[in-house]
Amino acid sequence: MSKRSRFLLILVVLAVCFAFLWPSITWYVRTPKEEQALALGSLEKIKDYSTAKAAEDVKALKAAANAKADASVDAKYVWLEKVARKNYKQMNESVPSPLSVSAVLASFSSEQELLNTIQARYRDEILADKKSYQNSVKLGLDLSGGMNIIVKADLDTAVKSQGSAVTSANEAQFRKDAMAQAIETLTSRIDRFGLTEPVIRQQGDDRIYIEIPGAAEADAINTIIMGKGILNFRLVDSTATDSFNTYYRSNAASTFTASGALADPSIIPADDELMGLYTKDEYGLDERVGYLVVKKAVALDGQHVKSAEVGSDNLTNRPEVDFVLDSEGTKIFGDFTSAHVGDSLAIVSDNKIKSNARINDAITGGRVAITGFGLEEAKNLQKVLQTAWLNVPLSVESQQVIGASLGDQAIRQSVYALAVGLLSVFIFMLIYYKGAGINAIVAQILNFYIMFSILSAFNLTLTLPSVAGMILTIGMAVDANVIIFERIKEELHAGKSRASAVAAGFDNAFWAIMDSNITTFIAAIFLSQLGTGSIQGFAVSLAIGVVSSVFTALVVSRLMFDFGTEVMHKQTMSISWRIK
Amino acid sequence: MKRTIKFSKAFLPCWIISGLLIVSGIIGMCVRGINFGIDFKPGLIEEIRIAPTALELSYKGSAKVSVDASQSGMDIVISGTGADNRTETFEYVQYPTVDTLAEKLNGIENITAKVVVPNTATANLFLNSAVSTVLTETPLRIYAAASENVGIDDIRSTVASFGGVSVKQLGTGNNISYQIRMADTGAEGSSKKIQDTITNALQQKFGAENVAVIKTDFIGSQFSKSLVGQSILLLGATLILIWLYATIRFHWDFALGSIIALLHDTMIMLTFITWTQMEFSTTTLAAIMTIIGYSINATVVILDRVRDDMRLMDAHSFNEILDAALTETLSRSIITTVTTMFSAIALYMFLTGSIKDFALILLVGLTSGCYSSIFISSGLISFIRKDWKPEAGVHHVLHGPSKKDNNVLPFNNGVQA
Repeated sequence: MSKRSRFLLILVVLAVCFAFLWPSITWYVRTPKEEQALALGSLEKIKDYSTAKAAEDVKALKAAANAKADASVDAKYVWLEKVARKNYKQMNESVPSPLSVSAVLASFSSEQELLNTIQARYRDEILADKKSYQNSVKLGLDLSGGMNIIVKADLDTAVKSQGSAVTSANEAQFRKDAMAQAIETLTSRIDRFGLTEPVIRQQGDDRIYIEIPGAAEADAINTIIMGKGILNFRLVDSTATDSFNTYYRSNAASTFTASGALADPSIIPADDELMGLYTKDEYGLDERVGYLVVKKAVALDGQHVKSAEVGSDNLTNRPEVDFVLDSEGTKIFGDFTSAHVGDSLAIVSDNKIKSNARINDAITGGRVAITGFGLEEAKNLQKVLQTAWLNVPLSVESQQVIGASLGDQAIRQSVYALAVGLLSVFIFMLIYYKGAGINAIVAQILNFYIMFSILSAFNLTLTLPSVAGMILTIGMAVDANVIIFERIKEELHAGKSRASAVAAGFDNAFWAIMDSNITTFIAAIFLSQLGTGSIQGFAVSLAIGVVSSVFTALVVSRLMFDFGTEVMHKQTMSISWRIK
Repeated sequence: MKRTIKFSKAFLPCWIISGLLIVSGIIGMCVRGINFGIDFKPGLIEEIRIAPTALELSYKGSAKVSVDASQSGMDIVISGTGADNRTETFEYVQYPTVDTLAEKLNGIENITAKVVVPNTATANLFLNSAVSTVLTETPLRIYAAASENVGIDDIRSTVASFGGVSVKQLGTGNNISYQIRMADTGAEGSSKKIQDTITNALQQKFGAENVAVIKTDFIGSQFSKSLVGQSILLLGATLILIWLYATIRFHWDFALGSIIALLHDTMIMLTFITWTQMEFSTTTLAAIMTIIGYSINATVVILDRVRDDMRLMDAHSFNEILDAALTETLSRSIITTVTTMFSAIALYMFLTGSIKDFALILLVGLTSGCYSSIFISSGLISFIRKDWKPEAGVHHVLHGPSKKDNNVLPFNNGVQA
């Protein structure tokens, strides 16, 4: 490779690395804490926030326009002028000058359109932050504080509880489904806490890994993990629902307290409860589409549901969910539906309303059919009903709670260790190898930069062991430089010129460097397969460090030597105290 | 040309010394056993601090207000609906006591700060790790520095009634905390149950407002079992893969020599762990694996040189080649070990807990790795090739008498400028 193309290669690598690092810089340096808090909330929270904020803004804008029609737009909403100009252009109307508040408002065809525009702006801003968080290097629990839990699902018991329904033919599929359901139930329960970006994923065949960064109520989380799913049927109070919705529309920002409870409980009747109505969005995530007020009294407990399946209506062929009740349930349900024909019934799972159906007539036979939705929705509802009798016992296998103050301390300690470790290596290299030491230092700094950006690129988590891995990698990565320098020294001893000593030194060292790093890489990759996350972090940074140190030693440091020889026309080499 | 050091003379004594060391380690393992950490021995480790609540914070509003406490100050992060998004920072230097801090905190809309112990210094305030830092109407306790009136014996006597509990003191002065460890026999039920019994006992003795949990770690018995199996499998598989790679790149006896050196390092580290009764955790395992990766590095560099010298040297015995190669790579071996040791020492000096142990094992492993790559692997190769005779002719004819100076490269690697 020619020097110019090697130089270009280095520049390209540096630029790509910077692009990888950018989200991390954006998130940790350029995003204030309160914006981080918003971006880390659940999508539901973000939606609520944007809606409420937009409603406030519309109110403020309208008030400003009413007070003084030709007032100029408040500095906070200047961006709306641009949108207004575009709106006028689209309507083929001339843009009024000067653009006053009322003119800006008039450019929108309806208040809803204005509301949507403002809401979208809030949402996009927060989602942009969320995206940079997702693409940045994350701090592990030992650095940020938080908790992680490994839950084991007892699938054998779940299989047994199904009796003859599970045969050897469909057992594998049943286990898979049961596992998926257990994860989904856990996810939706943990989501309710509105925690900072919880991570929930399957580990192996029957384990679930849960990680919750930041401080969280350890007790409450333990309880929800161990708790059984609650499914029941409740009557919808439609009058109260209507009056709540009217109230909510005008007081969106102050309806709920921070913990999600009603700020003023008296807006719904005392024997009622407010719950969100959820459907699945395109991503299969729960999305709240509205609120319903339901009776606190449970009409029918979910444990009476014996089975549920997706079928289709005989006449219309539209999908429906059929479920069968046991004899006690049949009686309760029969009495209840006879008394409430025409009312609506909500299917509540873990305090979320999953379906809201009108009772057409009394159902006394114990077989219930729910219709009025697409196939996807029917399947989702079937899964919800299934939780009633498909019980997968969960047990906590390991749990770790780390205080944020410990994390804080760990970060400080590792920064010290990093600084001292790096400096002592650098000083040693400078003293021992004189001028060539600078070459090694530049290579190591680049090495560090590349390691960080690769961590960022793969969205890896930075833990204390991975910081240790990095510090250690620097110590080890110098090895490649040392092998080359020692070879060059030998060649110089033998009386070669600077240029040929450098060439021979690099060539002779090549395989020694490759062989030794490949073997280290093998060890690191295997280490990264070891179950626990912290050790994985260490191994991954070791593996990344091995690759980047080979690059910096063979390409970057070679180029620096060649630059000295050919561009600066150096004849001698400062690499040892004995060789002049 | 530098003088060649006769390393080969030391091969046998080194093997004997290493052998004795390893045997002592094996005896130690049988007699004292390895002190397995929580990863391998199921149970619960809880770190608690007995400290009075100094300040209570509550909030009644619709925004999300969270407390972010660090060593030097406290941030109140306000976001969400019903309030302006902002972060209020309070440096402890500016507010040296909780009273001044509370006065300022009360100035934030809807926040109530109640001073429990007046005149407490803010410098050591901390939060319970098992509680959310989002403020609600239920007051959030902020604890002052650790109480010095409580000693390790008080804690011991409180938890003594539970079987298999051990207590260890961490830190000193107002940073003092206690590590309580309890084994999971499997019969106890969930981790929560074990934890609750301990926490309840402590809260009864010292008062609920004076007990703060700093860290909890629980490993169930089943998980522990699967980890042990996995670790052994992993260690074996790594060794086999490295051995395979070395066999492909070098001769079989070179590969065997390098694997023996790795086993030697592993045994030396285990001996050290046994005799110091250091806790054996997954972090320890990582240290061993790191040294395996690192030590093979050193061995390969030396073997690579031996292979080069076999082509270039005019030697009468294999030991001559080994001595030359070892001499040539000696400064590299030492410098690399020294630079890595600098890093390991920095880790040992500044970090605490399992990473400190990790660094210590690394230091042992680094020393052993440097030594074994010189004496142990080469010693084995020297033994296997003791009847080695220079192959008549071939190399000699190719390279002529002044081997070291010719410009024929052993490999053409394509990295020429």
